[in-house]
Amino acid sequence: MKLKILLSVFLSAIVAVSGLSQDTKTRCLSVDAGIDFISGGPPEKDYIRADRGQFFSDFPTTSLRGLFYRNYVSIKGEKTVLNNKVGLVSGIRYTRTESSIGKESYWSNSSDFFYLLLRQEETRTDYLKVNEITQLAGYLAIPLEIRIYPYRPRAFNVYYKIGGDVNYRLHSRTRTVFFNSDMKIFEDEIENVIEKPWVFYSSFHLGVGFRIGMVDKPGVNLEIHIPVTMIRGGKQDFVTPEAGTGIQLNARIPF
Amino acid sequence: MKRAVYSLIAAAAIILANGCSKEYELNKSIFIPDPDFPELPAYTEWGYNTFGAYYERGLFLYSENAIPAKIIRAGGITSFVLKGQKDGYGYHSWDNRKEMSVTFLLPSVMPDSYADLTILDKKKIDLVNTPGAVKLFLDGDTIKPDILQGELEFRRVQLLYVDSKQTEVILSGVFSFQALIKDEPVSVTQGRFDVGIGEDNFFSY
Repeated sequence: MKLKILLSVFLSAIVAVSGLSQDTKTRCLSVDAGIDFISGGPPEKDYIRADRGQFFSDFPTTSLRGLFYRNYVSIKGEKTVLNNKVGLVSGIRYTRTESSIGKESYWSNSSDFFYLLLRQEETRTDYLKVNEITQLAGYLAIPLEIRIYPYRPRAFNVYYKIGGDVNYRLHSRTRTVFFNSDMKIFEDEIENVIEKPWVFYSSFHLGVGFRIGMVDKPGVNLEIHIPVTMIRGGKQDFVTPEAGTGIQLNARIPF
Repeated sequence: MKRAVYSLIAAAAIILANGCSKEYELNKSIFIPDPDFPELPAYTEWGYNTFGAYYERGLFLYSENAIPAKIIRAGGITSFVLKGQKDGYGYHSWDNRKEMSVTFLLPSVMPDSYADLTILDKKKIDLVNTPGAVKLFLDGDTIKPDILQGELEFRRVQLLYVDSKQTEVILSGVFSFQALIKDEPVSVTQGRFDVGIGEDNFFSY
């Protein structure tokens, strides 16, 4: 089943790219890489004991953060239409997402812990002291973009875009940092306590891009994205994405 | 010199890390407001060390400055004590003049340690048919009211293990009663508690 879905995604990407290659003057192939940072609200979970804010103890859950980020690499084709004012872009992408609870920031680990409800059996209840839980997932995606080039082509051009991608999960795993490393034996059990990563999700963004180099020569594009919304294919989120920003760099070869 | 500076930084880091430790969290109170009665803590089962009730139209609430609950086994009698304030200025404050406590007698419960309190799980105590079931400390006086009607219910009792180590018992439940106090009928309503009982607040003598 997974193989069928993979094949159909791959075929549709090839069709999209080959469709773009019919006009010999206005097409290019590009390889891009990007990253989006999206913060989530304070997690209120029925498996996390509420906490006291470090400075405002009246707000019990604010000392925990939910963070989400994703990075990706893609191969895309672009065809420009309407006097090269509009570019239609599609291709194939691999996206890696990382959702975490307990981290203080994207790149630093927390020395503090929270209490996680592991299980309740009759009158016995087990909590674990956990520093952070990170859910990693890999997705195969189809990106779709419309770029608008309002200015005359030059060696440095500004353009605007609206884009998105549709993602299907290939694999996932959960990594837990325990306050007491002896509790590592419960790592698999925690995977069953927390919400599963989304099977499908779609993200949409608005952006501004900078095209460096002439249109008919190899060059690079730099784009800044503002994620607008994410449609998730799951009943519950481990981290609920709220707002963020992203950046994408791509190298293009006209042909 | 460099080594001394590095040692100093390392020592400061260790002190800071310890200063931020949250080992104490289980003993502290965490107020989650009730969605319907936001002055009262919500009914929870996490061991948030809170309780609250309405005494007539006033508020009987825990305070962060007093241990909210104790289990006392003395002279062949076991009691469950909730200590807080009546009409206080919130759970951050403490005023001796506003001190109030409610002591419930737990008939035929003889725990040797806090872990034995799991026998209270799902137990309901009829306060009318239990002689001396309730004792109040109110307005500086200890009062044994005549209970007209009422019930204490332990909805859930959990023996808590943290990182596989036995830590405390969490008592979660509700209570309400009507009583004659100094010949005046009064009511205690919407009572709820979610408290941890461990080595510190289990007494047997």
